[in-house]
Amino acid sequence: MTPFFFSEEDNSRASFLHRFDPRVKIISFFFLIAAIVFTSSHDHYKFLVYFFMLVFMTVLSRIPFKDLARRLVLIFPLLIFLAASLIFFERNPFSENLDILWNLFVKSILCFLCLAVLILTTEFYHLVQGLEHLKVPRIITSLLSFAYRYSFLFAQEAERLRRAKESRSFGNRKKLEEVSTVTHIVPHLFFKTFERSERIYASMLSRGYEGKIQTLSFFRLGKRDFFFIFLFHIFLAFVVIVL
Amino acid sequence: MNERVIEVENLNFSYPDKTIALRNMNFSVSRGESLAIIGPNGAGKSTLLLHLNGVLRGEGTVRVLGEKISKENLKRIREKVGMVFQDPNDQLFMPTVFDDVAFGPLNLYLEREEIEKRVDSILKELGLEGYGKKSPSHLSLGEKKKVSLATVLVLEPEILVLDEPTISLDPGTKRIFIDIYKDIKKTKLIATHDLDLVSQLCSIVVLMDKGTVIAEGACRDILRNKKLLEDHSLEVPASLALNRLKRQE
Repeated sequence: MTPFFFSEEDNSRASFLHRFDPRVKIISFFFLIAAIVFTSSHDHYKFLVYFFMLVFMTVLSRIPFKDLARRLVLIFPLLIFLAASLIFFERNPFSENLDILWNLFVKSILCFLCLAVLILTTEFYHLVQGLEHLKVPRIITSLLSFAYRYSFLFAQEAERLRRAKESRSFGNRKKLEEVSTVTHIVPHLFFKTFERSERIYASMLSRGYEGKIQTLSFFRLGKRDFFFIFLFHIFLAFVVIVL
Repeated sequence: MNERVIEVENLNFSYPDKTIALRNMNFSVSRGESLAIIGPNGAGKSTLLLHLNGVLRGEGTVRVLGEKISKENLKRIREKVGMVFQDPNDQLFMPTVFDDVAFGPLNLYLEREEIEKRVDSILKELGLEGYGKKSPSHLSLGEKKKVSLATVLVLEPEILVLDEPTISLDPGTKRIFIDIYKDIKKTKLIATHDLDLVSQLCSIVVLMDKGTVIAEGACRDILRNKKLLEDHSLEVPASLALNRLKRQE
């Protein structure tokens, strides 16, 4: 069972975006996200351009739109929660609230799409290595790689507990009883995942792990990477400054 | 006298919740020996094994190939002592079989060509040719156990430590693994309560219970001592019991 957001099958598609150096992609998407965040909420054309840039990259990467859309759905609960907080707790005029909501929604969705395209076109461990090459502190890259690997474990343990619970449930349970069972299961789930993660860590130490995930891949910037950087950033600069 | 490759002296260890796991453990393993550590559940077998490559550090001394385990030589020790864990799911955590087997050599900073050569060779040796691109989570238990073994053998350790190597395996797969282990000509330390396995693979047996050594001796002597075994929740292995029955007839 794989965690919903990451799919290692997606990274097997050998499209042009998959083949770029991960450092190039990380830097490019970082600047794109920065451009999105700092764009004024009134510059609707710029948001449209950013959106079409992402659509273009998605098409060229051969990522199915429905895969992207499924992942996009993940942020809606958070956005709705933030929107509700804004409406109930901030006493702003309606038009101001609308402006803030628009700002929140459009930027969150575009930034999330940037991250989704980056992650779906880069193998996770290459992403982590790329970050290390860009001098991101090792504590952060180690945390990222462990969080990724342990999310699989968490999902597996949750599935085991769910099956155990279902095997001893006979239907017709009241909702409150179900909630009560789940509240007992959740801490147990965390505890089991923690125990398992300790054993996996022991196994990694036994095979020489010293805090840095190594891969056989080595990164070398090619003409293709320089061309992408040049084209991408020139276009982004044009959108930010000129449009 | 054979060189002692593992020496454990007065080893004591307690877990953070104050559970005493090891009490004054003393034993040694000579080069080329196949030594079994047997005992009931909770005897401290797995805890002891984790001391042999420095994952756990108790009070007392653990020497591997003459070197006392310390923070400074952990990497060297872990190159020499290859540990196969009881649950292969705890050992396989990379996206593909190739990545998992290459994990150890990568941490040794070996050259790319050397890593690829070693991985391909060990996969072939264990009958796992063509498995490189597969995801470990899609393998059967027997295949996972083979890959777990590969992840350790690829490091070419001098000492092989196996924690319950045949647990949950069907008889046919167990037979295959016993033949694999027989072919591995390294010093072996096997923690198990599968006494049939012990009778086929090991020459020396250490019986543990409640964190301490109860008895140590030749495999034949320990495994035929019915009272000793039953006092510690074990039984004479079926193969030896059957032989005894045949002799009585």
